[in-house]
Amino acid sequence: MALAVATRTSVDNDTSSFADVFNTHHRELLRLAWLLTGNEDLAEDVVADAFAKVYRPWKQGRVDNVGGYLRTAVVNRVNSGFRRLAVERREASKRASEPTQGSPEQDAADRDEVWQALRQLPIGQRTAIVLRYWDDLTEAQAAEVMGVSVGTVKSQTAKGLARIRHLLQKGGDA
Amino acid sequence: MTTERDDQPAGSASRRLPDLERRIADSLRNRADDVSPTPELWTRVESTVNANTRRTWILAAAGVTAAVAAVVIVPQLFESDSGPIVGEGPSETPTVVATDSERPTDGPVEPGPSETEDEGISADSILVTDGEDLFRMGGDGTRGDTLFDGDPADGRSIVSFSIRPGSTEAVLDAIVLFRDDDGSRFFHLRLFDGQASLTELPDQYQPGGPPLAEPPRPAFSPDGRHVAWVEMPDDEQAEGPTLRTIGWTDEGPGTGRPADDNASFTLTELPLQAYRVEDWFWNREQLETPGHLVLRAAGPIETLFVPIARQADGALILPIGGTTLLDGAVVDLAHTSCCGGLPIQHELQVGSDGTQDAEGLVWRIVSRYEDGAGETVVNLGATADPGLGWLDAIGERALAGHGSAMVLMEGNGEITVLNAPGGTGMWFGALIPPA
Repeated sequence: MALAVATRTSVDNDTSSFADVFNTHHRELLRLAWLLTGNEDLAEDVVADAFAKVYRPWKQGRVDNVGGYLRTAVVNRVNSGFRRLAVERREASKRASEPTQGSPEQDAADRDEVWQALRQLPIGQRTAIVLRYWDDLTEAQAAEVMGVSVGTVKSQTAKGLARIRHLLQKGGDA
Repeated sequence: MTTERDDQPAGSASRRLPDLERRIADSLRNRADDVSPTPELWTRVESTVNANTRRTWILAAAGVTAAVAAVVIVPQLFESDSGPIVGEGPSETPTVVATDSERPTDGPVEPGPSETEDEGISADSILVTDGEDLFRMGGDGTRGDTLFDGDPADGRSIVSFSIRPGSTEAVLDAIVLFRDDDGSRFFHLRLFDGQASLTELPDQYQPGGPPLAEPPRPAFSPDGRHVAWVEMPDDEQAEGPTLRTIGWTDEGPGTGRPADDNASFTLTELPLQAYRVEDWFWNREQLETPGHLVLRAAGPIETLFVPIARQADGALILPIGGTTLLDGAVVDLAHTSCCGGLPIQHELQVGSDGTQDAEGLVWRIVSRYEDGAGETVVNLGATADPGLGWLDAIGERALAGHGSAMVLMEGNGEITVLNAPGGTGMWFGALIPPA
């Protein structure tokens, strides 16, 4: 009895041009991942995973909007791995409590009360707000990326805004 | 991020914003502008993609034993003159922290569609039976711990099982179907705190009707609250086979609510014969919107969708009409999702037209993409028994087998043939969600 495994034979995209895809999208994807995770190492993990995942369907010509596909992959990865990321964040928080010489960028981030409030949001609310106010997506587009209903995006955004407002007021920045 | 997005429609967040939203947008933009990729990012992408595309499995088999035979090398993907442009930055090593184990919660279990995404398959990710034992297996085919050590002298064999949605490698519940000369019996397999137990279900939750050559294979509902199977009625004048359902909680079978625990439905649209429940799908967000059971006939190769819905009070209903017969070659379906893309439908098909050739029934797995195009990705070879083939999927992985071969398909297209030593050849397996 013969037993065989076939693999896809059609290759519709020039593999060498995947570097162009990377060049076009990696920077913005890294920023998106960093805004969602708050951790550079994890953000690079997420983005590297996203490119690895898109490669095969892209190579087979099954991805019409590679930027959208990658964006969704990043958001899904952050959300699905958030328990792990939460552990990472706790570890990072411990490290952060130790006195260190901060970079100018870190100092600016530390002084940015809005950013500090954003980092305290649950991942769903943060994702909705980042997609809406940084990625500049409409509610419908954000819903598509997050894989939820428009109503969920609305409620997550509203809750996130309310939470940020509360945190800023609590910090004396009303 | 503006690449490859539709032109900004009305309602865009970038339009005139109230003060708080504007401050948030400014903060996000300022913080994001400080982030630059390290050169290692491209290196990692390149190496991962190269690794994923270099492996193509070619298999050869003698009798029922399959083996990996060759690895095909694909040329380098990237030319040096098309390398990436990355920003300067420090080289940093990513860290990995193990995830926590969590016990399923009471009530509906909602396994996240991407819950398993990107996690490497562990040593205990597949539950397998060879007809005698129940054991776990790794993604490379390595046999793991034995959860039930069968005694070949007791005349019982394990036919199939269904893992309760929400189970994990650490805390697992399953209903296991045993068969002996007297008929079929259901058992509850529980794995908790490293200990496995197998408990026979009370009589009221056991299959009834006359013994059949094709035992009543059960399946959990997607929320883990119900188990369904099809049995033949004792009444020969019945209008069709009986679909029975029982309730299930985190504690095991039975809810104490008669409507949940002893529901039965006559499948009047189906001829009186044995069926196995292959799968149960529904849209959990829309009550009373029918999902469907996937039933496979025991005789001729027929697979059907039978609508099933849940009312607002939790009770199950079977809407009248709507039973559909699948393409003759398709005997099972499963869906995987990968990388944020649309789900891919995998079909277990047998024969070119469902007929038996000289060698037996030829099994294959066809992946059907969003454009409807189907592609044979695995040819499993032939068997003589039409009842053996099965297909399962969780997250981005699919697992399939037909009694003498079992293959694992990863979201990136990698295919691994799994083989465990010994066994009677009655292979059946299912993927266990990671802890």
